[in-house]
Amino acid sequence: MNDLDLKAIVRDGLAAVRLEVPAEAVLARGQAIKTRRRSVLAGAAAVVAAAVAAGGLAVAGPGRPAAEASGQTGARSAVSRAASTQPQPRTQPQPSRPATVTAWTVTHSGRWLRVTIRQLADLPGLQATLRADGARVVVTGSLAWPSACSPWRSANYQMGDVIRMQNVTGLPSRDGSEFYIDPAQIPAGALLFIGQSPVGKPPGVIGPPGPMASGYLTDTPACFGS
Amino acid sequence: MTADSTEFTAFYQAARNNCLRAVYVSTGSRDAAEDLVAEAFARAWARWRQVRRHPAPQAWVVATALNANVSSWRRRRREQRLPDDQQLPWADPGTSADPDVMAALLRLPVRQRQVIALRFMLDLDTAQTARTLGMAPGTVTAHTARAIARLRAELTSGGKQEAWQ
Repeated sequence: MNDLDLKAIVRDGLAAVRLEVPAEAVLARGQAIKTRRRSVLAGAAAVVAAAVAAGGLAVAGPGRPAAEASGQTGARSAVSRAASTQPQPRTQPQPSRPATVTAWTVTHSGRWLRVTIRQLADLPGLQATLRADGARVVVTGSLAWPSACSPWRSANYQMGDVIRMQNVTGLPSRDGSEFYIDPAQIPAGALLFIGQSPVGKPPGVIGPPGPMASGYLTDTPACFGS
Repeated sequence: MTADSTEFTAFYQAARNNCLRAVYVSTGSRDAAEDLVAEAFARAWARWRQVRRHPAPQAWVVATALNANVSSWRRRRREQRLPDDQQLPWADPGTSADPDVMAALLRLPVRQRQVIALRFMLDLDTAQTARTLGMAPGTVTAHTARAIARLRAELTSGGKQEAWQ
């Protein structure tokens, strides 16, 4: 018996096994999943916005970043001093011109990691950088988390302790999405999800990305490796 | 019905039975496989614009179903093999698998079973199987060779005695 014969025997042996679930039922269930995911993500974004609104002063404390990009001057000395005493920012160079713009930047600011996303490029690199800095994160280029992940359920947690948006509205500024992460505050058993949407910007165009979502996912090897 | 739902429905009709068989072989439980595959197809529809671009959407469905089953595998140790001298307790001609074929498959270690399921039911190549199961291509090749050798021995008349004793 060769391999093809064996394959035919196995396939024939299972030929009577059929999935009888109607397509309409699958479509309806899929639609429910889609609706639930949107509401969960909207809720997560609202939680972040609320947390930022509640802790806005704490966020503003480190100062508005990207002074060099915006050209503004003012109360940014705290940031400058912090940056000068911390390791140099690790950035992802943009592959093409203009060479001065970086896709994303991660810098240390006290116990916080300051993240600026100006362009949706090499998000796996951003994820790896944040993980190397101790933040157990899952970063995606959309508002959806990977299919291998599931939401983390807990009765009591504060998103604002872990991630804070620079812009109190939770929307990206002219310099892109800017936010802070405290890796030590990510709860045990959870991964921090960061979904950066490309909505509104065609691929490859430099500029502020679209809305961002965040939340907690259950920490599993499959999700962490996704 | 939208163009997307028409396309998805056609995909579902074409792929559902092979996906069910692959997950059934992998998990060893018909009921669980039906639930897992139906749920995985629903998730595929929920993100169809992404899944439709996947190089092997059937593999995406099976991988999603198997991933959803991982935690319950860990809790219940469902991957335990059927003892060599034990026959399957059920036999429902018309809707069930061939008892001899299924028993031979369930005697394989779970990873060999998963590899065979993807290779035989979905016609995936070594690289696609490796990506779907998260293992190295060499490991897939080794599992495939061992599983085929054992299945050949089991399913060939008298072969079991020759191969394993």
